[in-house]
Amino acid sequence: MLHRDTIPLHESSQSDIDEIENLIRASVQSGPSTVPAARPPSPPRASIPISSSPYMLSGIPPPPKSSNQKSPLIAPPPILSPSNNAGGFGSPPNTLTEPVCDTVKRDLMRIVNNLKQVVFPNPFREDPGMALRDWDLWGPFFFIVFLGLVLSWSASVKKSDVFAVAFALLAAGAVILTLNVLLLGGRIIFFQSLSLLGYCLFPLDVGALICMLNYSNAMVKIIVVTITLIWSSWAAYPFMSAAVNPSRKALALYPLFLMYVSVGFLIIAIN
Amino acid sequence: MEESYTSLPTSHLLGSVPAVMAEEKNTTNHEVPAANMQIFPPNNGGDRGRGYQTLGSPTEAFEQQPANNWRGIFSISSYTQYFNVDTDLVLNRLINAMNPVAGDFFSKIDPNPDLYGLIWISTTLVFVLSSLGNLATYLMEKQTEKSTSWSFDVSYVNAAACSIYGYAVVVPLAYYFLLQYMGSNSDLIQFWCMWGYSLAIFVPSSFLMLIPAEIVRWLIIILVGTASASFVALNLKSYVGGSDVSVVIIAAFFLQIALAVFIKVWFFG
Repeated sequence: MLHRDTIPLHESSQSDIDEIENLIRASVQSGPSTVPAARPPSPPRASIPISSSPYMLSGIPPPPKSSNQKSPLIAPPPILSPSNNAGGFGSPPNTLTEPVCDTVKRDLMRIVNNLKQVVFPNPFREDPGMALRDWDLWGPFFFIVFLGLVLSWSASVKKSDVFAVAFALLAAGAVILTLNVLLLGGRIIFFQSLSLLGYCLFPLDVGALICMLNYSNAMVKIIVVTITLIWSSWAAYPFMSAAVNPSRKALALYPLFLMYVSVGFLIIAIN
Repeated sequence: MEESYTSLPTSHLLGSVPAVMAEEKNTTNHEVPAANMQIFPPNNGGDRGRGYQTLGSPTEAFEQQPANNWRGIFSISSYTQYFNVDTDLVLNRLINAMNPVAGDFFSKIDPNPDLYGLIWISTTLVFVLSSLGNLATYLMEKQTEKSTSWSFDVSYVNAAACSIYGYAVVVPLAYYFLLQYMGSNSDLIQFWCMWGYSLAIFVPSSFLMLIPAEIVRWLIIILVGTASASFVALNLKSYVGGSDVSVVIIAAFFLQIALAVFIKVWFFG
């Protein structure tokens, strides 16, 4: 693969990981004597070992070690946080040098997990603290663009206008809905709410795809869109209604309903 | 040297007793720094707005502070005062807006004008006009020649958004400046609120305008336009009070009628 460190390297040609690790070690060792080091300083080594710690954290089995392999890094450097795999924060050597398909796979798994939490029935849906704790914006972006593309493909004239209207409606709509809840005195986190509204578009994506593949029959389109619209509203409802004061619940939910109905109408009406 | 001691700034040392101090300086230096609200919360109101809003009045005193400096523009907390309405209050105001002859709308909204009505009524109207406009055009064409097929014209959305949002934002703004120039009292938020609610009557009338008969459509739009325009004019008259601005009020009446005619001609014509 991409590791040159089965061969003992010269000091001057270290790889990225090892430079960073050396810097960390140096800072730990050269710290003030009054401050105890976070971990005992590592012994000097003749060759640069394969540091298997990135692999331990990302859950992939380490490559077979070479014969002149010294003991791997004693403990992860203090900045690596042995937490869930969602943290890109404290582990730059980890995610910088992992293969691209690992990164993509990790993000895809996160999208699928979030989708399952939001759109499908699960026991934690009612609690906005639990659901979508690990929010991301890739999923919503993908769903919004996909819906715009499907609508644009379904249209026979003015395709670019249709995409523009759909994208603007959905993106600006998500932002405006979040701002609406905040202005009404509700408690939500801005990006978590954007993320949730994006994930709730998944049923409408499915509906739009079905309508595109079956565009001749208007009654089928109406039924499919109605079902997916109800599904989307059901997915977004607990989150939005829990965020505001109960006396203002309808004020927060009405714009949500308006946005989904307008998107649904757009799906039905585009021919 | 006593002069050097008396010239030391000691007003910040509230708990300390200055050692040597001339009597006449004592009273002037000893001022409590005026309860500067900005010292209290460690973060300015500027970065409070995201996410963690608390309802309730204890924070309102602090929230006035960010509205006074320029950073208040970017903080959500300085705008929540315009959205301080409950569901039943909004419904109440909507029902009052349908009543074209009682000129007391301003007194009803006076302590608490809201921008919620303006934003969401105009957005609803944009959606309704663009969707029902397409439907109405299709029904009308279907009557004249049986072979037309449904086609959705996206430019209706564009036209609806530009015209309705433009009207609802610009006209009250213009009236605010105009009435200020003419010396009457005027309050921008109340104007926005009133004009926003005046558009509410167009929403159900758009459903009625689906009827594919030209005479019926014109009749409906003239009725609805007159009702909405008289709502605007009567309320404006009772708010302004004086008679020297009657030209302005008549202009408001005709502007609203012009909007109604434009809606009919562009979307349902």
